[in-house]
Amino acid sequence: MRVSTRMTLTGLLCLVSVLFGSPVWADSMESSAALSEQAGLLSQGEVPLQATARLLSVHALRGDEYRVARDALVYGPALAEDELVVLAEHPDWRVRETAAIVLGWRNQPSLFQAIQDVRPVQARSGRQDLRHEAFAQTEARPAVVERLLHGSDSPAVRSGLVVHLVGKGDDWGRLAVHILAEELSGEVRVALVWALRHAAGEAAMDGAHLGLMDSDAGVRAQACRTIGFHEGGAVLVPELLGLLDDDDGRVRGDAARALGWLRAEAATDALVPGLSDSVPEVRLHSLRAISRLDPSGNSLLPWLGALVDDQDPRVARLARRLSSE
Amino acid sequence: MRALWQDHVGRGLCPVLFGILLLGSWGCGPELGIYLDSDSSEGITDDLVGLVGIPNLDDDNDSDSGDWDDGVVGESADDFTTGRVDGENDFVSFTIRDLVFRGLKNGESIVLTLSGDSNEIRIWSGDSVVLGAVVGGFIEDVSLASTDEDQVFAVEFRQFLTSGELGLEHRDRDNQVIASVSAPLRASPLLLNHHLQPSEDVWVVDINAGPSFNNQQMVGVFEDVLGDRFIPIDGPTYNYDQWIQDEIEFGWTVAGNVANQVVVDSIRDRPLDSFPEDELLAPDVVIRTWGDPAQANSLDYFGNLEVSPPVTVDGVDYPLGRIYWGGDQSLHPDEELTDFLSSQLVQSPFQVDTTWLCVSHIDEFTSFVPDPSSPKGFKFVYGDTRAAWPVLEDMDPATQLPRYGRDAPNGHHLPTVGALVNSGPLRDLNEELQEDYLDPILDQFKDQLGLTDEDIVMMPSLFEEPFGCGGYVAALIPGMANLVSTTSDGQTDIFLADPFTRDSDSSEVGQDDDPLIEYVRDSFPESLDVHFVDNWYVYHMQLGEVHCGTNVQRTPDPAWWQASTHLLEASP
Repeated sequence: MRVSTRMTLTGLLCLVSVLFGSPVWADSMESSAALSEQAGLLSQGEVPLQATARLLSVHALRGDEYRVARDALVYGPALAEDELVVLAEHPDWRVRETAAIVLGWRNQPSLFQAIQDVRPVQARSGRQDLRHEAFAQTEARPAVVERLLHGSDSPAVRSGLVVHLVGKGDDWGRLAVHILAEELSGEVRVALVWALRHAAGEAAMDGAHLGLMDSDAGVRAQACRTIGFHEGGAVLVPELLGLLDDDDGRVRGDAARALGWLRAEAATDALVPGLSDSVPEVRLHSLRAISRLDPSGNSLLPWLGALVDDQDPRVARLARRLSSE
Repeated sequence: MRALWQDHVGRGLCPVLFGILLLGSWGCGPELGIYLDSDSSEGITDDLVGLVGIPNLDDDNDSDSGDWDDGVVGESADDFTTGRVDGENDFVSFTIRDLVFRGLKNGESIVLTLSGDSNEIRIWSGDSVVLGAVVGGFIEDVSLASTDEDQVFAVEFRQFLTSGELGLEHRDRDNQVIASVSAPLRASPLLLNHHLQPSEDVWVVDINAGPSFNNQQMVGVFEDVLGDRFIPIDGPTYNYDQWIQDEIEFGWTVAGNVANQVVVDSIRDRPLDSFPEDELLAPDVVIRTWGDPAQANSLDYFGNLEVSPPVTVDGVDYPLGRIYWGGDQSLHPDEELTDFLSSQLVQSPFQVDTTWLCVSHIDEFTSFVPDPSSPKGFKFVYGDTRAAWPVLEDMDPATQLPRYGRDAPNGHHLPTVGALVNSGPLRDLNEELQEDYLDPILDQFKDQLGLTDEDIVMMPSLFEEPFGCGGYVAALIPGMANLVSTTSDGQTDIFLADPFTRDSDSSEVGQDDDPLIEYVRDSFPESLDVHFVDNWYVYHMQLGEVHCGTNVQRTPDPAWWQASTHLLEASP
């Protein structure tokens, strides 16, 4: 609470400076790298710690409080352009992304405003989609991050924003992991973990690992599917095995399914208890996973007799096929 | 004029007598006969089901309320002298000839009676209701005044499948029935259109919201092929709601030469909600909604409501096809609608499981196309993952797939054919869907529609888990089974998604080199003109395809009562 108060005061001080004359910033397509080259004067060590602290303080804000503090940085004199260019490369992602947002508002305000103004449309599946040509631009990333982290949208709309992070910058997967670690909404975390299926290996698996440990079963189940789908998913087989005992049937089922997709042969024995699980999806995915991991069928022989009469027609059908092979 | 009649013991009389029932041994008594006028009897054969009409649900007098309701007559039960609305054209008529009074003895009477759904039928003589529903109740019988002229009566029905029995009785001075004839009355059921009926107007919402969100190529193809029969709907007016299939389902009520088009307006209530009222409402058009919009989910959208062509199943003919929708025991379309459709009997609905799909619509993997060369006259088009892999495996794995290679939300992150065919989890997922859902659902379709393998075209399909679907799936290859068929003047055109399985970012380039397009052209009946359109951004990536984005008004099959009466037997 004390930190938050100080940040608010900082924002207000900056706002005062805005009132005494805001610089006019023209739209520009200059990249931060180009600006850095132009600036060429500062290194990370030369940027005052105070500037870093200002950005960190803004990062922690939401809604109107955030907008006031952001505008103070965008239009006020507190942070010089060359400082922001350097801070956009800062090791701390929060500083980095906030600096990019401030730079973006200074140099491409129409793009940023367009992103802020997009109204969600309910898709056929019920999800909230945000559609605008601006989302296709790589430079839109900080604007997407800003609306995702600092806006006042519902979790459903924020989930819809997540998809626009995919592929924006080489490190978008790592950014998604950072956001995942801070995110309070389970719905948004599910979206982030889904997105990571398309991210580069290490970041994707770091995020998926976080997802496996999530308190929300929907996130854990999504993490299982992301791991199972990912070419680097084998590194998390031990963690998937741990989720075969999860309290939630969806998670147990998707963990079994992912182990089958990954051809994690060592999982065969651990999957056997799932054949008698009370949840049909767990029986189904366990049965199919074992059949993929042990094509000889030896592991299943003791079970098939009962499973051909399973109450779930999918389980019974699969068991009948396996029995006949 | 055709006689509708029975003797008083219910035994059908020989038609050659043509309406003359001789009473008494001297052969000069009243002729008890109820005659249909020629319009109402058009097309009626020996399968005569009685006097067939349509429910008077439209708004011929443009009063913003249904004509039956406008026709509420008088303010009390004995005040029913006015009420037929201006422009009324939804009644059917019958005639009682003057011969009914021939030889009538003093004190005897001729009485017209009505039983059954008496409060949902009105029998009119001129502008007066003489039988059936009136304010506060209904009139069960009326004694006809003797006249030397034929008397024409009009029949009005309140609801779909309203039924009753009209009687004509010769009574003695003690009001005892000496002889009688009767005729059943029945209103048309709601008949939903199937894909083989001739097409009339075709609609697509015209979307042009920038380079990555427009359907201009698709709209252009429809315009070129269909000309004036194609009607673009202004996208901005309806907030770019592209799913016109979801909003409305077309059907008819038909009897003789009277018909109403019925627009079933879904409980979806999205931006296109006002479209039917804005663009379709007119005399002889009925717009009706069943269900609670507050409870709507995607299974209530009409991409999830389809009708097969005419089929015969286990010896039972379904001349108007069978209705089908997707769902399961816990997740299904609003039961107010499905119960109503089931109650219409002649298109005997069934349900298949679509809950494994993110949007859960039956049109995502099923359709029908005409095939005049086949015994059944159609082919059932069915999504099949097994059909997809060999086609893709025969391609050079290095082939670039520009549309698939884009990141979400505009692509599938699969830049090459190799990336697609070498994805083990993707193969596993599709194998699961095939075995757990597609195969058993196909068996169900075969059972419910009497299909054999020869009736089916397997459409190459692959599925994936898209963004925001919580593990449920949607089309990875644009869903080509999700097609629309139009037939006019003997020409059938099929519009379906360009699969873009080639190194091309344009639907105008490379279709002849696309192996999936080649596969489909080779699989479809030769009589069809097949048009692959670019529906990638506006439909495919938004979890729908061409059928979802179109709607078609079709010409009704007018003679449901000829061949469908056996399906009405369960009717009360």
